[in-house]
Amino acid sequence: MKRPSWWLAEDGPADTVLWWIILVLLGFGLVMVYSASAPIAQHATGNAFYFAQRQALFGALAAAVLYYASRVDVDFWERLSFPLMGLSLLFLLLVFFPFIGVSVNGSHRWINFLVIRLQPSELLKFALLLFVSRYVVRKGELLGKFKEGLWPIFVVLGILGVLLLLQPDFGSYAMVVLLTGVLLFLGGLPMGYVLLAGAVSGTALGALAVSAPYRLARITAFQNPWADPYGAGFQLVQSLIAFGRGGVFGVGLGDGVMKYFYLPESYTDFILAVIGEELGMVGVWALALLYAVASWRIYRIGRRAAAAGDAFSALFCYGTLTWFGGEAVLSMGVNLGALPTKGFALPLISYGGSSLVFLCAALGVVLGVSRRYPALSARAVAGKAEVEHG
Amino acid sequence: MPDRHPAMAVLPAWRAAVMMGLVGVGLVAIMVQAWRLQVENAGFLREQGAQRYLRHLPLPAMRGAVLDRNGVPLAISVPVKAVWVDPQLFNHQVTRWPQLAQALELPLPTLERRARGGGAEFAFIARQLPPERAAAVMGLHIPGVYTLTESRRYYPLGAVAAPLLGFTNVDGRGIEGVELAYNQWLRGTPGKETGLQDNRGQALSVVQMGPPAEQGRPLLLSIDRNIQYFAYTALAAAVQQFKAQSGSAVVMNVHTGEVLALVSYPSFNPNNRQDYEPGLYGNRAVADTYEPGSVMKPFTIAAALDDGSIDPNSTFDVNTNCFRVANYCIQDDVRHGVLNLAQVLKYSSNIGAAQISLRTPPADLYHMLRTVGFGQVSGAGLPGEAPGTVPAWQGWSIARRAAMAYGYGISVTPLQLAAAYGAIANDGVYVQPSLQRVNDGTQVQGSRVMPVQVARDLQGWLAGVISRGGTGFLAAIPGYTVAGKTGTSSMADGKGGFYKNRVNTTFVGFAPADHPQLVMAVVVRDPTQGWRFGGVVAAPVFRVTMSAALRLMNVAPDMPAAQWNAQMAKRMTTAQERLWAEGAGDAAQ
Repeated sequence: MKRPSWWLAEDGPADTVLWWIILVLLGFGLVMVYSASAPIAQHATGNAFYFAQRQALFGALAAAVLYYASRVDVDFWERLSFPLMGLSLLFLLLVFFPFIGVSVNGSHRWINFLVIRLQPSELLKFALLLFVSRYVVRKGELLGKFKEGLWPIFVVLGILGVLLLLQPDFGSYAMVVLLTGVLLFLGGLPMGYVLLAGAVSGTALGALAVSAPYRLARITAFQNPWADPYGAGFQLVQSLIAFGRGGVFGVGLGDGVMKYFYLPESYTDFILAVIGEELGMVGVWALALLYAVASWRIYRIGRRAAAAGDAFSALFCYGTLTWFGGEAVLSMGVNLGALPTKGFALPLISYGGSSLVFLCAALGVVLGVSRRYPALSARAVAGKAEVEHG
Repeated sequence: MPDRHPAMAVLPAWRAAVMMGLVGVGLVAIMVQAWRLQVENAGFLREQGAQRYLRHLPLPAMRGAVLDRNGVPLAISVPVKAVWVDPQLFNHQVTRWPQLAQALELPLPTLERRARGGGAEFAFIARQLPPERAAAVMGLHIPGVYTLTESRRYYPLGAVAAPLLGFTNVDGRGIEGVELAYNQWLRGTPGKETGLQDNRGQALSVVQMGPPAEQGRPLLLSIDRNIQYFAYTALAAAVQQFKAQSGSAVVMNVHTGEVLALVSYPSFNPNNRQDYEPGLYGNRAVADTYEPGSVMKPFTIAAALDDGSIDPNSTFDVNTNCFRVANYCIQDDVRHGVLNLAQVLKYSSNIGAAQISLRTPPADLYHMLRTVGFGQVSGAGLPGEAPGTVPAWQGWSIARRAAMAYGYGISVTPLQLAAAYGAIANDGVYVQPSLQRVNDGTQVQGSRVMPVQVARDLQGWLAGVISRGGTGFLAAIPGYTVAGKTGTSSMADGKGGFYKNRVNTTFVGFAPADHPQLVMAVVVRDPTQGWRFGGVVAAPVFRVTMSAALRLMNVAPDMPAAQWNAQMAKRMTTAQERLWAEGAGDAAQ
């Protein structure tokens, strides 16, 4: 059988449930970004739709990326992993250059592309999934031996650590370490290493947090934000109040008040607080359930790929599950005051083009994997068996 | 195809399951945490939120208007708008600044200065704007431009009634004059309403209505706007013409005590506080006391007649250059012979008055002065009113007794003078002066301070003062009979003596003489030019004001003009006519 080309190669039936959940979340995110950003947009630019319009463009772009990524030959992504990783490192360097890099509040996180700004750390997450999956698969058994298989990973993590912490972007680096660790763990890293890595990374992250006192304050403030409601606990207090005001059924879409300059980052990292205020606990639960079902579907696709022996695709699916589900849990946990206050975007909901597009690229690849290894109904299994015998 | 990496035979499936399980557990934990916040702790969190996003706004209440006796506004509050900008936004709109400047009719540099001269987040661009203008500005939809509602107190009469009405401060509270005295009555009670506000203090929506705003009540004063105006312009002209320090005047209804005009000059423009000068704010008609001089003589005579020390036909030999009392020498301006009471008043003889006083027990004179209102506040209710001083009679030396007779050793206010003469004009019944309108036909309770006959005699004798040869002839009003008394007193120098060349000039009178309706006191302090006598400086102010007031109050003339001319005008000397024609203090000049 000859493939038409490397693009539009995957033409099997994709996972419709996952498709729908992604599209519903994109649409719901657009609505919530508008609701949460309208006051700030009105105040800052005079156009209440300022952020919503951009998010709509990003959403359309993300949906297109999602579709085409799902049709591209999965093997192509594997071939692309090294170049993409190199591009990510290049971009991460570029953020420090004047005119090209954009600095906001002292953080060098963006690259100027004439009209839009690219956040290289989001591209990095996508590239890292491909890269580490491929690496783990290639090394195979050697992964158990540090001198032969493991040390390059630490070199990569070290370089990324320098680049990301210089920005500084602590949250992204934590995500990078988490994704790498999870992929190594799932790829069959011996348990001894798992325990050692857990201990070492835990100590390292802890030391890093303690070395910068403002981070320590942020880390401890979440346990009792009411001790300093106008200082360290300010943002969390506003967020908690939003959830409390929402109650079980919420105050109604658009009727939230905390987004009126009380809650910082109301349309990015703290958008769940706005959802909790306007749609109540019902809305938060529904969102959590959507994430849960989507995660489950991604897991199922990964399992099918693994069952078919395609370790690269399986690992990529698991990595995407970690990124998507992990960031959802982290962002929601931060909003709800269950985790230290740290900026995590709510996947597919929060305002931000780069995270939206690259997460959709990863999800698109997962959908592509689902096209290659479709879930077969009992009858289809029977039919396939007949074909093989016949 | 699936077996491209034979080294990777199989991934440990249980690890992936653990991963999926962790995500699942995390999401369940999220749902539990949402329950804890949104159900268990919702009450506490909402309460905390209410402290932040609820705001209790006062609903503005308009201050009541101050109206004159005919309902014409003397002070009114109007809603106005202020335009302000948030420079953080507004500074990005430089291209639209000329548009805004044009809408506000401001020069562009002024707008720039104001926009950059305010705070980081707030700068006033224009205040006290008419609402239509503000609406036009908001119609431009320039980001960062906002309005807020203010109220502005406007005084249509301007300086004419400013010392009387006083003014309000920026919070709309009366701090001077009528505005202060009747603040409780005039001020409204702001209502309350609870609403949501954003973190910048802007209202989002109304949650709960509290008590509505109670508007201030209108205050109907006894003042007549037109009489006030005539009195002010006549007084201002006199002060300017004689280069005097200041002046004040009071017009009062003798039967009801209603004050129809109460003026003070120099004054200030209450609609423009930028020319703030504290010295101008005093209401001299009630706040400044001075030694009145000869205008006190009628009360000396009234006291002496009342207790029988003299009788209406008594005569007094004043044919001396120096009437010696203790070590003082009492003099008249012109040497006279033997005078009866009418002549003592007409020629304003100090010697005659001193002789009368020395015949009268001091307690009786003291009692007379106190009962006609001297030495105590009038009760008209204006803030800053001075009581003046009448020393207790027990301490009077013989010299003090003589001096009291012609108005020294006592200090009074113009309002007290008007009220005291009002008692003579009202047939001996003292009526407390009042600023509140009395309904027509209402009988105002007064107190009798002298017998009817004494008051009637004084009315007749005081009418003589205005006749030919009297000191007050410049107060004569065509068509009416007028009674009154002049006063020219040396100014005390504050060191127990008197200035040689500085005087206070006074005229107090009422009209018509035989059935008095209105009384007026005029005081001009320290004139420095011309003939500095009460009959020259102050009397014309009376004439101009009173002739207008009589017409405005519908008081019928006593006689046709022709008859008046035949009786009064022709008997004037040439010099008198010239002075009269010069109309010292006439509004026209």
